Amino acid sequence: MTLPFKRPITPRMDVPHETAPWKQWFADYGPKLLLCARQWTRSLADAEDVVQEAFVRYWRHQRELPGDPQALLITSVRRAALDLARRNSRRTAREDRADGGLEETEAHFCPLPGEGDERRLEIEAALHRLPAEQREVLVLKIWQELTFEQIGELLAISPNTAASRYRYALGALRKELEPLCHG
Amino acid sequence: MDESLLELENELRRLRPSSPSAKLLKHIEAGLVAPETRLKISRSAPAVISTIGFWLNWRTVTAAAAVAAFVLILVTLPRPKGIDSAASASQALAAAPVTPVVAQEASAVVPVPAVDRYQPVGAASVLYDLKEDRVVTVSDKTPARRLRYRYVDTYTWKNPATNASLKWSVPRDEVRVLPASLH
Repeated sequence: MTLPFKRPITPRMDVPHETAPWKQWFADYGPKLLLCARQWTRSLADAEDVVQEAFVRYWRHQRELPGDPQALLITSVRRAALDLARRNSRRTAREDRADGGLEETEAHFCPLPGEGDERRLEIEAALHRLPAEQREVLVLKIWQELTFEQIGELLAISPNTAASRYRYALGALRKELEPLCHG
Repeated sequence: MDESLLELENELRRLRPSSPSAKLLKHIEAGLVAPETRLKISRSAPAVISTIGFWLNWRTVTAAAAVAAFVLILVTLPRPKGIDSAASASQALAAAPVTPVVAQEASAVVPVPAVDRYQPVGAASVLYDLKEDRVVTVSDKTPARRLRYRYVDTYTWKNPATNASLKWSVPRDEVRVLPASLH
């Protein structure tokens, strides 16, 4: 009888990750992971640290395990971010940021081809003003393309709660950006 | 969802997350080529090297062997009548994930019957204990804290045809050495 797990195991991905070089894999999926990590960390440097830790661990030890690689990695990134937050818990109140950890000067998104930066910056600023719990659901839904069930499992909330936060986030963004849409 | 929210969703989806920096790629590359003792290179504490390793003792090995034995028993259980015996559970777990093929003719979509094999449906990692072992001295004679992180990684497979599910949990320990803050 064959063992239940034999290597290699092809995950559900467009590119079989066990055959693609890590650089190509990271080029395709790294930007989204980094965007998600920035919702859970205080700075771009911290976000890069947790992505690095999660990705190295995944590529070295977990990529031959069955399971959706993106789900594994997002879970790993979030755990690493929570671990980092606990390790940094002695940071002083003066260093704490009321904005939930978003950098104000480092862009989250690439400039849109053929368009100016103004609209992108307005969207980033509006995202920045969202409550952290709504912003993380929005990022996971729009750019990580998770379902509400997957988001609920990741954040330990119900899918309905995830869907509500998503709707509230979109509604709040629409109010923030509405004058610009008609401008 | 109303049209304006759909338009906002589409606008957000057109934004592409910023690419990771060259520095992050370099750190990941260094992490992947490092020897098996796995050096964690932190941007925020460049002088610190933490060693991450697995804690293997007879308890962990015994637990892993018990889980493996349980999995083997499950996959050798006789299958209920009516299920194709040729698709054994071990083959199903080892096979590549199924991509259902949906035939489309004009405007008709043919529904795909449930596939009789186990498919990966989830993965989770839970940190259940965090303990500070002791203060140690690293190679540059500075004090550092030695922390032990204890995880349980759980992988879940499900057979859509029989609704049977299989969960595999593996304990994992990580030991990290972090600089000790004196102020």
